[in-house]
Amino acid sequence: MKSSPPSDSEQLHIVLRYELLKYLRGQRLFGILIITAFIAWLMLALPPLLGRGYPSDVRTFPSTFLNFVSILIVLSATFFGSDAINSEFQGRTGYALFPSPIRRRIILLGKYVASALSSLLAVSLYYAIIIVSAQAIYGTLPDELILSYYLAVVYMLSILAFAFFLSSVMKGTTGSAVLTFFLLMMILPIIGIVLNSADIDPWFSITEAGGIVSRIVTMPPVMGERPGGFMQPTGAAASIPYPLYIPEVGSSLIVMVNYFMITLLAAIYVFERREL
Amino acid sequence: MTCPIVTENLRKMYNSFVALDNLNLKVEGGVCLGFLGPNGAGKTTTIKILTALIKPTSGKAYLNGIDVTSDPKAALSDVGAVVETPEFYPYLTPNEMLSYLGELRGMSGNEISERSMKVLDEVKLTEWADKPIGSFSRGMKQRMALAQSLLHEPAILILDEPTSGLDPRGMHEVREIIKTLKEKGKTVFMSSHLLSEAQEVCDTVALLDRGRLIVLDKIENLSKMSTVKKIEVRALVAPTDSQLDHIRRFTGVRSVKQTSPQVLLIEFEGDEDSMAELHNSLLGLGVKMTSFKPTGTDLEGMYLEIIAESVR
Repeated sequence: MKSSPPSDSEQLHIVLRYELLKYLRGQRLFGILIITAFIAWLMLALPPLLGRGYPSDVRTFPSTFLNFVSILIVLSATFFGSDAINSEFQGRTGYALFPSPIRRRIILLGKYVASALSSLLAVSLYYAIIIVSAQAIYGTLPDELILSYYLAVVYMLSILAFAFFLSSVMKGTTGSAVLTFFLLMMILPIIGIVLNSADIDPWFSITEAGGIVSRIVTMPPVMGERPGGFMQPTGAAASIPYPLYIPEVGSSLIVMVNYFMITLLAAIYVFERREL
Repeated sequence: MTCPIVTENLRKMYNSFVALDNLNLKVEGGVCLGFLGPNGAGKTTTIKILTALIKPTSGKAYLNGIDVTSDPKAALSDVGAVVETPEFYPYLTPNEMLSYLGELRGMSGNEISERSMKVLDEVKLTEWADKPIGSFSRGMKQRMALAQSLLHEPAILILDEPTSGLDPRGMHEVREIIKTLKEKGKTVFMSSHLLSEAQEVCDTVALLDRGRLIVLDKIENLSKMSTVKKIEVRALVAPTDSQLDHIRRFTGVRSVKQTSPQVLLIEFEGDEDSMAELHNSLLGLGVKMTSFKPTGTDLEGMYLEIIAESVR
């Protein structure tokens, strides 16, 4: 029996299917969807349960929800991306897969697309809940909510690529999961704050750029009227003694797309050279 | 005609450590080659380069004339491999795992189901075909590894210690499978640390030591190279000290060890005629023998001699 290996795109589709099966069997996909639905339920149910009611302004309503989008994206990257590559080495499954007639970059891209689709499902579910709830409660939606969704998808793609890069570089799956989560949740935001306090634009930070996902709704003037740059905090944040860097849509998109391309290419480069 | 497996000046270095030193090999089609050598000789390194798991520092490896490093997809298309004891995705069943790997190789759904049944039967995993691999023992995973390497009926099989982790029955079954592959004209490249296994299954042997190819020849030629044999003699009554002294002075006897009162292990150098003479001399000395048999394999003798020379 002499069959020729399928084309790269067909093989990518095969890897994608079996990777999705992994998420289903391993209950990762189910887990992230449960977390998404639970958080959304908490945000919807808690105000009435605590007797506080919903905000009167339709723009303030989704802003509460949108603060969780970045966390959801980081969680998805940790769930689906942080061990995607190094698990093949640590778990020795690569000994079965890598001697197959398939390019390593196709394995990586198949896994990446599977993780992107799974994360997209979680993010889309979350936005669907926000949109349906806002429509039901206020009968209208902030114009920027859909734009926020598109930006969240771009942010998700760049964060996943970043997680794949860490997974390609790091040996252990636990280490890469912990590093992905804490780097994106704590370390990079802290670096952003420190740079802010030193009057340095942290424009290059992916987490700063990702801030646009919620700010596009909560602070819409950054679109056009006020380009990205430093702003004196107002309202509840007025006590912060230094100006905050506020990203602008264009520059945020450029940073996110660059992170996506550079880290994904770097992940492929490292994976193709990594020895088992 | 292109040799199915060729390596040219293959060299692999880990920092300053030379794992493989200009290895030149040509394995003809239909040959079952036993790849032997002590631990750290470079056997697995060679197999990993041939299966694109690692890249050589310099030199080339070709499968069916295609450079493995520059075009692994084409080079590995007609190759089945078992490298170390691989793990499989624990959430998949053997049938699903074989489907995955079969699809990646371009097999149709019908071919995959037909061949999966056949290979799982060959490795005695039929009743486990739909159970998650996560619950399998090491031996079962080794059987699964062999099944996936046979799935697409490749022309070349690269097997890294294929009987590792198997019980004696499993080892026997795997050897029988390899013999069948040989009969079908497949090219088998098999590393093993079991010399008896290589002698039983393979027709050619490559001996590697410290990354260098020491010898590559047919087993029958190599067996003739070995002149030192170990002979185990069992006696009805323990030989006396005087008898032992006499035995030590016989022509060709290098050493005599009394492993138990009635069992002697004689290291002997000589051909078959000399061995017959030794047998007669022992009888003449009054040793009441219940058995007189060479132990170990011819290949073992050759192996130890060559490795000892290589160390010198």
